[in-house]
Amino acid sequence: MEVVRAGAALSSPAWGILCAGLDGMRERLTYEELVAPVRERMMRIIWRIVRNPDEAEDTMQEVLTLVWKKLDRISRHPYPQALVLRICVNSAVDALRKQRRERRFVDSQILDRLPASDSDGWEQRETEAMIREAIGRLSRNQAAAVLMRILEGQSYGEIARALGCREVTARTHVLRGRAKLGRWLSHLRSSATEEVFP
Amino acid sequence: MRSDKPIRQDLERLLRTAFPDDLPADAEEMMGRQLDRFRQRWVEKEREDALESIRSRRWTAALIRISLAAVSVLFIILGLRLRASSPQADLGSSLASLQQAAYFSGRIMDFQSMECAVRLDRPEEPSQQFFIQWISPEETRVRLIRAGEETVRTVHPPKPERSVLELIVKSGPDETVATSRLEAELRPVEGLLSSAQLRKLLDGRWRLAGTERRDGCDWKSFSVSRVSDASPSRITVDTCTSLPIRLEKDVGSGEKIEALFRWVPRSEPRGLLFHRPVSRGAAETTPS
Repeated sequence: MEVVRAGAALSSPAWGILCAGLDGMRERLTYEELVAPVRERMMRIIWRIVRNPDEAEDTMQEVLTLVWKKLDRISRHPYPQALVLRICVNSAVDALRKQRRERRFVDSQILDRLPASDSDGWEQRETEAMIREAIGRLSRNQAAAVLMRILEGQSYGEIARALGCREVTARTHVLRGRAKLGRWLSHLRSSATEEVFP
Repeated sequence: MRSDKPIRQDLERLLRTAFPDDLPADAEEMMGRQLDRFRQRWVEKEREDALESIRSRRWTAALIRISLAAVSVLFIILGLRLRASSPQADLGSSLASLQQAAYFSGRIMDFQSMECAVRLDRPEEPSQQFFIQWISPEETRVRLIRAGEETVRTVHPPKPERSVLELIVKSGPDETVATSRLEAELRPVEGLLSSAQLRKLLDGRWRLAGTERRDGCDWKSFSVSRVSDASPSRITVDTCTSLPIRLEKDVGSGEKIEALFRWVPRSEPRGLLFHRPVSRGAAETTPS
């Protein structure tokens, strides 16, 4: 059950003024209206990006704090659940960037001590790390757009609503993000997908 | 574009493989607990807000009820005060007086013929008597008795439509006097010289002063106040004929006039007053 504000699809100025006036009178959404319908998706998307139990817990905490802080704004948003999912993706990408910074230091210490027999596992982890690093290098909107498109399989319209932009802009974010990833990960594409992830 | 498609597919496969959808049960349970705690706090906050809102609404409702009660009490008090002061009676009597004044004024205009005996009392001087007869709207005869001497004057009261020139041309050389150059001795009775002047004299605020019963008719006394006069006139009206029968008025410097009216129907012969001396009382001044 997705909450969609009545009249959100209409774009006439008069309707906009009317909605703006009515928005001030609207009450906050309840947990059952806002969070319950996207509860599973929130958990899955955070885990998929972060892939670490502690980081996932911290990210979920941050997401819930943000949702509570911005509840009035979210309640007035035409697609409040899409906005909540965007908060999840953004927070997870932020966590990913943080992981990227920490890993640079940790990996340099751990890799020296890894045994030679563990080289396959090391390569897999190294590939994952490169992909994560590449995602972390993207801008916030591009990372969110690419992950929502590729991992969540969302349409450009859904991405646009979540990002609060036009559909064309959402499409541009996805294309540019994908182009950058393609460049940065060109050396992994054909070989790595077959060899590293058979 | 065709060459981009495999690259894109490769990249998407790479990303999906790097970010698999494999939420482990322990992570799901842990995040689920977080969400449950969040839900619990949310519900508690909603309950608190609802209670606060109910409390606020109760206060508002109580305040409105108190205000309404206060306003109701105020209106009741106002109503009782208004009722106690009986403004309707004042207003009613005022309207009735106004109506009567207008009616009497109209009656005076209808009766163009009037005879009137006037006594002028002056301090430390003998009384003067005037006998006034409206001959026509344009002619009035005045018989003045002062210190045993009798003088007759004919006065032509001005009509609003008459010009000053016309008045001068029509006025007689000796005994005929136009009111525009009225002699000083006739000044005290100026307001009685024509129906228009009498109406003007009685044009004021009428206030009922008393009622007495005479010969089956009510004689109503009114106090007539005018802005221009310091002292009000007192007029007595016969309710059977709706015509004035007596007028008393202070004309200043201790002078006081008392006039007794006799309204003559058109068919009745006139001039009776000119053959009989006048004394106090209407019965004596009017012929039987």
